[in-house]
Amino acid sequence: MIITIFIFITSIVIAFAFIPKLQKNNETKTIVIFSIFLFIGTALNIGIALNLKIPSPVDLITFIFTPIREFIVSLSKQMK
Amino acid sequence: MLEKEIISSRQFTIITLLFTVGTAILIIPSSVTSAAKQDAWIATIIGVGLSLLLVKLLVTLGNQTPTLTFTEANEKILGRFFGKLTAIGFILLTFLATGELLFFIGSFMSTEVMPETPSMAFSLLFGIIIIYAAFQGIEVFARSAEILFPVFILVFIIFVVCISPLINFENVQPILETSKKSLFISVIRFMSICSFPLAVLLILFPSAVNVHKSAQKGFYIGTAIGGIVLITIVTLCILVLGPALTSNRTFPSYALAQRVSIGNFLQRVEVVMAAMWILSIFIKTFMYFYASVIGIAQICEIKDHRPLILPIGMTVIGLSQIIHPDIVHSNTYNKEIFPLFSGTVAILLPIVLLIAAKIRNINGSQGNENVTNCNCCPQNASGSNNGNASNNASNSNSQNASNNASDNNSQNASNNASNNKSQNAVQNGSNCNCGNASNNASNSNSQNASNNASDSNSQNASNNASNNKSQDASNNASNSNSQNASNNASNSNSQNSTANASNNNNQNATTNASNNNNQNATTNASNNNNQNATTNASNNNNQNATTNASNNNNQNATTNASNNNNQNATTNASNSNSQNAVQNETNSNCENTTKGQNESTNENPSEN
Repeated sequence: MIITIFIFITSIVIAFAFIPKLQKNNETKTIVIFSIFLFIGTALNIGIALNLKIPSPVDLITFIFTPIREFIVSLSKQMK
Repeated sequence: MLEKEIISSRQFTIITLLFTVGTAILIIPSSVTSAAKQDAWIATIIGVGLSLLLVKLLVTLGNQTPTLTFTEANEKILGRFFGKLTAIGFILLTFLATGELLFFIGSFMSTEVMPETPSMAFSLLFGIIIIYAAFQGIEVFARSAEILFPVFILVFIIFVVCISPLINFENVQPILETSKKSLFISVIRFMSICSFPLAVLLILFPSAVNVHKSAQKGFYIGTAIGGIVLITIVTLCILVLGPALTSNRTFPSYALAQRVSIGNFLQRVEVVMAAMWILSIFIKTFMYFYASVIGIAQICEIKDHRPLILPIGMTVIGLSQIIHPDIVHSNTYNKEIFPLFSGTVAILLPIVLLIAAKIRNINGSQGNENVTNCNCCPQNASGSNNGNASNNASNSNSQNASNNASDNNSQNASNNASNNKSQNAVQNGSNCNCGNASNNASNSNSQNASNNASDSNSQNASNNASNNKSQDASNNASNSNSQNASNNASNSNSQNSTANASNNNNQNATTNASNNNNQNATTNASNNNNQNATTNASNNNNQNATTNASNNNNQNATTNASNNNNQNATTNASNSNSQNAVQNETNSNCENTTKGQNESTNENPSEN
């Protein structure tokens, strides 16, 4: 719980350190991308602190490339 | 707007070397040896050889777009939509790899060095270093790599010397026993970890390196030396530990370092040796992270990437905890899926980019023999509101190539007219509000090359006119609000080269006129608010070199006029608010050297 609050405070500090400066320069696009990544990062770290089971993004890559891999493996078997 | 950061080619070589060694030094021996057994060292040597071929591919791609990073090049070559798509694929690779490398360092430290500490602690600390380095920028990082490199090499040499008494040659016998298939698999595994990710260095290679040619050499040298380090480590692992033990350990090179024992006195030095791979992993993780940040900023078209570093860094540290639940998951992923994933991004994507670039830009620059009217290939690629005009007229044996590429509101005009055995090349590249005009006119045996590159609000004009056996080269490069004019006119046996490079609010005018046996070189480089005028006029056997370099608010005028057997060298270098005027006029057999250097608010007229 303490870790969760700590992560939360950290991300608020980061947001307050950067967003006012960006707002002054009228960089709305930067603020949007900045906020998206800050949100993902905070959510991810809080999830880890609370021991939630988060699926690995690598599993998505594995899902995409497994059929290709199987195809290549079957090809190499045919060649033998 | 951020200043462009530039690293030297030597720093780039060192980064390439340490990047190649990277994580490979820790995990390669086990994954290569598990497939090819005692012949893994052969697989490694083949892998390094193939890596050099891959570097050749990457260098060729980098040369297509010398001023752009990899993600920008994607967009430029494949168009806005598909370019963004492939760039996102590339960013996905670097982003996941950053998390993975933080996972590696965490799991390595917590399994081998400090078993009681959670791996999150190491990932967090290492992540903070990476984020800090990213804030400092690539220049600072490159310098630190330069400092850390001797440490790396020293530890490596001590390591090799200390472990060599334990070599047992029976471990590699029998040689060449493995099947071709398992050899192939281990070559792929080796390359997937150490050389496929070299594509990440395209973020640095063409655009952020100061000397292009030697950086190209450095790319090969870095990869080759890094490969030699890896060959040595893999061979030592097999020679000392034996193939079975090497393939069973997760971090065989650490187990190798544990064996170091000098006279039963100097023992357990493995943590000192671990400095070697912590250094190389730092370099590799940083490069991945930097590529992700730069890539994300460029995909989203954000000028300053710095604000994005902290949020992305936070995400990456979180990612390192969820990316692999355990080391088994990581091993299967690295052996089975990662080669395909990185292969797609690092081999397939550059090949596709290269083919697309060839089709779109350089298509058919070879001329045909005996085509009377026109063997020209003008290409106009334009985004909106342009006027592009390319005229190639050639009579015989000539090669004419004109490229006009413009994005916005530009007027490009290229005229190539040649009569005999000439090569004319005109490139106009402009982004915004420009007028480019290049005229090449040659009568015989001449090579004319004019490059106009301008970013905004500029007017470039290059005229090459030559009658006989001459080489003319004019380069106009300007970034904004400038007027460049270069005239090369030569009658016979002369070499003229004129380069105008200006960044801001300039007027550059360079005229090379020579009649006979001359070498004229004129360089105008100015950064800000200048007026440069350089005129080289020579009649006979001269060497004229004029350089105007000015930073701020200058007016430079240099005139070299010589009639006979002269060497004229004039250098105007001024930093601010100065007016320089140098005139060299000589009639016979003299050497004139005039240098005007002004620091501030001067007026120097000097006449020789």
